[in-house]
Amino acid sequence: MTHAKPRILFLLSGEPANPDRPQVSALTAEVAAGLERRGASVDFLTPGAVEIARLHPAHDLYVLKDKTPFNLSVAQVLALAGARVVNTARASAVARDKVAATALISAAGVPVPPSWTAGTAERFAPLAKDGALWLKPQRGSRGFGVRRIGRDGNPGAGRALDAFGLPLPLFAQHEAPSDGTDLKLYVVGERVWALRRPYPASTLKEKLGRVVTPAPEFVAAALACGRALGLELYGVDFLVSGDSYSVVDVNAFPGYKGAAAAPEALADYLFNCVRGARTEAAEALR
Amino acid sequence: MKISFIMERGDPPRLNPIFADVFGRLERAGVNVAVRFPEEELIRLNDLAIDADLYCLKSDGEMALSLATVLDGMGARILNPLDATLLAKDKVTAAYLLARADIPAPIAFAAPAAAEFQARLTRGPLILKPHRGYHGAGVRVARSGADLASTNYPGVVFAQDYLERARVDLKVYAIGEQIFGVRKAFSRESFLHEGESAPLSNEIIGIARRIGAIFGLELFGLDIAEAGCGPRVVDVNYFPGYRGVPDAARLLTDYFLRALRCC
Repeated sequence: MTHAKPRILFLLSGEPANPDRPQVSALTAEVAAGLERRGASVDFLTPGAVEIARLHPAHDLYVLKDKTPFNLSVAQVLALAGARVVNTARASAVARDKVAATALISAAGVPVPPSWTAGTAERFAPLAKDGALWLKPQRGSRGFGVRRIGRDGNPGAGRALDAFGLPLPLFAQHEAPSDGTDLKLYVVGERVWALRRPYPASTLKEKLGRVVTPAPEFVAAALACGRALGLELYGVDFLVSGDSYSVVDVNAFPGYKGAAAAPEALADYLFNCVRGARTEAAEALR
Repeated sequence: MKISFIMERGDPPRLNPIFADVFGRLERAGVNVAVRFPEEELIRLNDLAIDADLYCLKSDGEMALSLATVLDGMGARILNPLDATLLAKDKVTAAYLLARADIPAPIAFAAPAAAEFQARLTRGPLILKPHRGYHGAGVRVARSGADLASTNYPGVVFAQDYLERARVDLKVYAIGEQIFGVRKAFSRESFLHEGESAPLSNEIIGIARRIGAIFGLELFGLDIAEAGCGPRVVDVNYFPGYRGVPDAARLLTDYFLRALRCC
């Protein structure tokens, strides 16, 4: 059994027009091709309705590419059932939680802009006198729900509630100084690529940015973010101003746009994970 | 010694009288007690630090869970342990752990959209719950495709076979190894009501102890449905309110004092 092709499954979100059908990005397709060239068998899945007791790992490795709430729960169950999941469901969930992630990164000694959480927006009002604020949802992504409040502006009032009327935390961050470009570091295990982009980037060309060699302090800060959150595959966004910098976002399994060597590095990393998972399983049987 | 309670004020605002009693007892025992309602604070995330020997996470709120995640990452001691709390918080992982341990519970399902349960409805009604929900918010029974079509849970729909004829007024509360039964009618506000102390069978006491061990929970509650085929665990709640448990304030205080001595 241990000599059969290693089996790897990518947990993906569905296509917008056909939610049951996995949406395979160019990056995912490229990584999967790299894994197949290394001798693995790769499947894509957008999980549907399941009887929870019947969930069990049928693959040697699960890649938590799209962190939908459903994929996070399924991945956590698979991990409880003994599956190796990359990134872990726990790390992916913490990275999505701006309140927890920001505090953990800061506690790890990485500079982050002054950041707060509160239950109601009016509690942020006194902060606006010290500069512009960015208000973000606790678990937002791709800029959804983000608001900028200028210096001395009014953050408004009221609570954030979920679909069932239960309260959610609000997150606010002082605008970090920027010299007009941002620095994005992509990490695969210990390998790091850096891209510099205009801030904010609007065109595709701007979003791709240009590859640069990061200073060691940026590499150290990015790796510290990964350790603090328990991530293996991630991106870290820095804003830079002169000699100072701060981390404004950490993303689990990002798109690695502009990092041409990343797909091969991801295939290498995941293939090594599956070999490690198999060795552990074989040892457990002895 | 300092103990910090991370609490939930609720809507309308309230403080469980059992815990008000516990705070007084702890203070009289010489313990420094902090009581926090995170949703009422403005918390600077850059300066968070461990400021208590023991934290008690007695809130279902997402803000309290985020705060506990940070404290846990910093090495704080939390009751219940954060891992145990998170396993109970997500009904999908909780149902998996119950099933894996052969704990009697309704058959449970999960789907990204309620419409996917259509085929299952031919076997009987389902009770649908938000997978991270609490206090009964969003819970509904689905008997038809129309019920499913009008259910718009974002992200995850958790469902259990609905035990239509089961008696559903039994709550089980655990304080470490001590297990108590309370009967109170189920409603969205039932967690606010006292209920009446009720004897428990050895089977249910055994189930509660096993769940504590499987999840790693020390302070927890169970909602039990008593069907013709025996008791079924329909919900696992971390750190409940213990309303109706005789002498709950003294027992909880003793438990916290023992936990503090282990710090």
